[in-house]
Amino acid sequence: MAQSAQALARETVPPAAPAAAGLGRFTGLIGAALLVLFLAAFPLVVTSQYYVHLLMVIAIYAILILGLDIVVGYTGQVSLGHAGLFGVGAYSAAVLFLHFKLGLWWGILAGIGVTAGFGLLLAIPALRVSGPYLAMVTLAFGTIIQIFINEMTPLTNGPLGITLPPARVIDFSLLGMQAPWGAAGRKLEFYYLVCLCLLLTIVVVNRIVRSPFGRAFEALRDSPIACDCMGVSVYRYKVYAFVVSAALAGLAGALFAWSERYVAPNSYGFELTVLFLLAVTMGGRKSRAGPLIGAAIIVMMPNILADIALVRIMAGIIAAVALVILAAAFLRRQENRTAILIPALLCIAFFPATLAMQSVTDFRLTVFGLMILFVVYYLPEGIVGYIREKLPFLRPAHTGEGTALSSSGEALIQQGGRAGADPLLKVEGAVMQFGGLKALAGVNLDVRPGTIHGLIGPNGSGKSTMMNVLTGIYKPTDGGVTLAAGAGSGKRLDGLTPSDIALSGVARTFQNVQLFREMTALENVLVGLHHAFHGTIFDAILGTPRRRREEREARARAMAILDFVGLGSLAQVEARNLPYGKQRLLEIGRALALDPVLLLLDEPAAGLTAPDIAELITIIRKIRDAGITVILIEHHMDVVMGLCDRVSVLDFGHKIAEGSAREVQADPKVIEAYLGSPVADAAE
Amino acid sequence: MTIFLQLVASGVAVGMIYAAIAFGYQLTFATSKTLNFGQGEALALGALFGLTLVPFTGYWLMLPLVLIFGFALGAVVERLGVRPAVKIKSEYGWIMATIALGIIFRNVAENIWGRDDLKFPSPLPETALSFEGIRVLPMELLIVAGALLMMLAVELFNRKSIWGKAVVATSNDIDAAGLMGINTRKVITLSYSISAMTAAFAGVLVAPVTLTGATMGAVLALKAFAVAIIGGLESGLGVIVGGLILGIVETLTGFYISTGYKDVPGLILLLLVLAVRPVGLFGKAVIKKV
Amino acid sequence: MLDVTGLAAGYGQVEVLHGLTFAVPKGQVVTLIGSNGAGKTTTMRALSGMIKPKAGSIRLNGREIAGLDSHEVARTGLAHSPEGRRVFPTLTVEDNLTLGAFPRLTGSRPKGDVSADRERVYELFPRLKERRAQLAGTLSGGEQQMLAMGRALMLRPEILLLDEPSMGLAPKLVEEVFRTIRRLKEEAVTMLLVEQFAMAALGVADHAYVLENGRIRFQGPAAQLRNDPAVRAAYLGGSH
Repeated sequence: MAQSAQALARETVPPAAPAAAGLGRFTGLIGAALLVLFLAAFPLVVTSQYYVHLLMVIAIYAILILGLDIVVGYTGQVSLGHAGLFGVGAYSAAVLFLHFKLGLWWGILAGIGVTAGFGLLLAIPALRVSGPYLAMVTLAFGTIIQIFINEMTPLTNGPLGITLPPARVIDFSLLGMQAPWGAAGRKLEFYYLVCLCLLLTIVVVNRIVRSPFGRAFEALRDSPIACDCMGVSVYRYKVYAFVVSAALAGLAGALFAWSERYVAPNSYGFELTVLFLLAVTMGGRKSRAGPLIGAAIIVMMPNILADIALVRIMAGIIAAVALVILAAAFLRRQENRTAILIPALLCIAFFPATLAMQSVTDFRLTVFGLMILFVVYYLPEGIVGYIREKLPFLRPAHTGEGTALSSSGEALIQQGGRAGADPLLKVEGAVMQFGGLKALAGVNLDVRPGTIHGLIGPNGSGKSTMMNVLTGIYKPTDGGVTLAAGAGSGKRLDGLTPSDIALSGVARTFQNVQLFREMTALENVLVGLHHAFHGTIFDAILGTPRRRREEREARARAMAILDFVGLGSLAQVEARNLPYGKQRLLEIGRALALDPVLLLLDEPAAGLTAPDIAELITIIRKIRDAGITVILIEHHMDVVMGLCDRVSVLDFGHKIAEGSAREVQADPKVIEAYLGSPVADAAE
Repeated sequence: MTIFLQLVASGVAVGMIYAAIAFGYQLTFATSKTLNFGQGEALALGALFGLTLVPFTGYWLMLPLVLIFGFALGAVVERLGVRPAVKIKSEYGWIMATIALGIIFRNVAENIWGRDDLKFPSPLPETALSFEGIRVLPMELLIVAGALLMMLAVELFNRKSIWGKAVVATSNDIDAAGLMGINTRKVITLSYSISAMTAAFAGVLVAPVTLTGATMGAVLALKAFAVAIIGGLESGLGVIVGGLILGIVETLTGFYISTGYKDVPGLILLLLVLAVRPVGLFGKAVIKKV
Repeated sequence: MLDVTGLAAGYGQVEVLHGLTFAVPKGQVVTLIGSNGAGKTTTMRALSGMIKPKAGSIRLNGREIAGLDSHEVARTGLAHSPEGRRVFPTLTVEDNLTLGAFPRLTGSRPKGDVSADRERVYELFPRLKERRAQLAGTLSGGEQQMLAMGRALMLRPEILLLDEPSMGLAPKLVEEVFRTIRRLKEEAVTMLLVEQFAMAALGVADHAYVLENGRIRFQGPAAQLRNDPAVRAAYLGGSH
């Protein structure tokens, strides 16, 4: 613990940090400017049609891969269906021309629209599954698309494919005039259109991932359960991610159809999908530069492989480097020397193999396969991730627009006017059955407003089950949960989804910390403030004044909350890099962002050191004083006894005692539940 | 009616192939919660390796050699593709790594055996036997018998031998298996070996009735995953039922709609089952603990 | 027999145990008691290699076993009957017991007479013999606990670790479990017992260590601690 705190201090506290963050913001701008300059100047410097076309293909792939990154990098899902979506986009454009003679612009619109629809379709199974299941589902989806394109000959012209004429970007003849840049310039119209689309894609993706939508994507990747419990519906945002990603794939597909001027079913198969994944991983997830680099690699690689002399030189260099690394590992007796033995030998063996071969073009896929293995094991964060790790000033500044690090507004919304004898939360006869086991066997619980209510009991007594029933993660087998909402009326919570319950004003923390690990402390709290954003995805894409105002206000409020839990100075640190005690506090802060009337704390003191516990107790008291009712599950008896106004004791799914902390502590039934019965034992 | 029964009979053989591959998925998923996305390539390599051996060894002696080949191939996949990724707890890692190995195997096979499909000589007469008007190829009977025998042998191994019991124990509870002194890493390698062995064997079985080539396994393996899902990735012999259903539905689709669409029902089934009941028709719902 | 010095362990970046030192002498029963979250089960997991200790030494008969994988620890003769029993539900009772002897059957521990030992377990738990062909998953909680203990004994262990053998059991079964522990003690089986039910554990153990928040709070002969109010305070808070 102490060690990780030191590591943290090293990384964040030096005064260089803010300056570095500033540089990080500029690298984005500088990079964008360089990209614009490069794209604009390229065809003027390199006049070869071949290379202009190659760059165009890279740009088109980059559009798709930027979209794929939303699914892979931000929501953390594997998609093997993006080649299929790419094909849908290409065919949407080509079919429109084949049957209706509609040109490029219609094709782009149709490509985006139709493919977004397919993305919606793909999202349906994707809602229920993830990981290997999702990989197989998306693979099946891609395969089906390919089969249909092949078989639906009347629509798609089947295996023969569709040929398109040269694309007309602007039809000057309609205006009755000549193109102002002459015939030579007309060849570049389409190139510049593709570049424009790429730049627009970068802007759109940038804005989405920095909006509440992007935060929701990352939140559902890092902890779907916590995401739901922050009132952010995992289902809804998975659909958004797939649709946006598919729309970009469709755009890329339509552009690709008009750039190649030929579409055929077999161009959109499994291998292409794997190449896209390789590109996104190798370039680097969660960045704009990564997909560009990745796209360049996968497009250029076949060209490099075609040049056997170049391949031999590269293989030679790789073999030499591998030999040096291996020798060094064995001489220094490094622990990983056996682990790197096989890959190093493979790298070395690759060199004589290239010498023996006349051409490696046929082994193109083998090379791609080896690259995937290499990236998965040695470069998991991709090229951009690796560079960011080595050069800290290139790390993105997480602040987004403006360093709104000043806090304003109250951290806590006072939940006054509720104090009284009527319970805020009423649990009646809650039963939760798992197979033959009754984890809760008809528990009644009344929680009075403005109190700290303790829930204790030995292992397996049903406390955590109660927590999950209250927050909608489990649907109780029987019984009811009612939250007093406003004057006299009660709101039934049982049967609602976790995200609805969260939005009704019940927030929680988790026994095993469920933070959004790759997001900063500030962003974690902002996910909790998701309910304060009312802008649509178009607000996010267009960067409307409403969107900017909401973001500004939410950031200020989030900072106030972080100050409240004592994390103000750590706002820009990724949650996974916080010391454990701070992570616990951040979870509480995130829950407070929901403006709850009721806060459920699940073993907040577990694993904390004594000073951390003291801080925690102070914070919980302050929360209660703001009028927020607290339910506290805790093993740490000193915490329970010191804080709770009232304590309920569970054992074997029954409530066995209730009262003030002192009363419960002295209750013989409680003592027996905890320590066992000395009487039965003495009978021996 | 005869046509219908004829189609059903033809569907049974390919259904058993699906079952055998799906059975292989179950084995590794049970021990390690991972599976080989290159299972189709293991099948294709088994068939191609067998094809090369047949002129030297004859059909029957080739079989045990293919089994050994598949066994070794599985171990390679596990050591290179799965173990390192599991060590760094990367789900994306093993999915991508097994896909990559699959691509490499396929590409190497294409370079060794060529891109064109080859004919695998049938060990049995190629004239169909007729049962009450329903024609069945002797090879189809061999496929059914072979696949059943293979699965039965693995089940017997799991139930009777101490290492087989260790495999089951690891599938049940990997931590508790470790406490018994079982080297669970070895057991996972073993399960990959057996899994690839089943796939390679399925490859030589199916090769004489289809064409043999580096890409023969890809779609088979994907559809077999559908079967594994229908049967439940955790539950035993549901795969046979699932395999038969899919095999029969496919031949029916091929006959009544179009052979071009015969892969579609399996894939749609996969999408539907996962959209509606991700644990499979025979699987048990798992309650996630927070 | 078992000597633990300065043991620190935890999960991820959370340290649960902050340097435990204790010993289990040959032929004795030692118990670790303390409230939920005190670190009892974490200690057991660190001893048997289920989690890797961050610091400290664990010596079994003088041999350092800290840092070994759990299957390697088992081969040194440490049997761990884990919390929650963890029997293999789709294997029969008999197969569960056979797997307990896995290192003996695969040559990494002296083989001895495995089937005779199985008969001995059946004699200790007659109920298991009746159900020998039944799948372990169909047993009742109490029977599963007996199976878990029997399975651990099949190793012919140098030391037996019992983690929460009474958890979730009805009082009558708890008594039965403790009767068995007492009987094993008479047969001079060295045991380390972790128990939530402190009174029962103190009734059978020779020596006890009381854990609180990952540290040993105090220790003493079990008989002496039975009437010590500090034990109660360790569970339910209050003055020490």
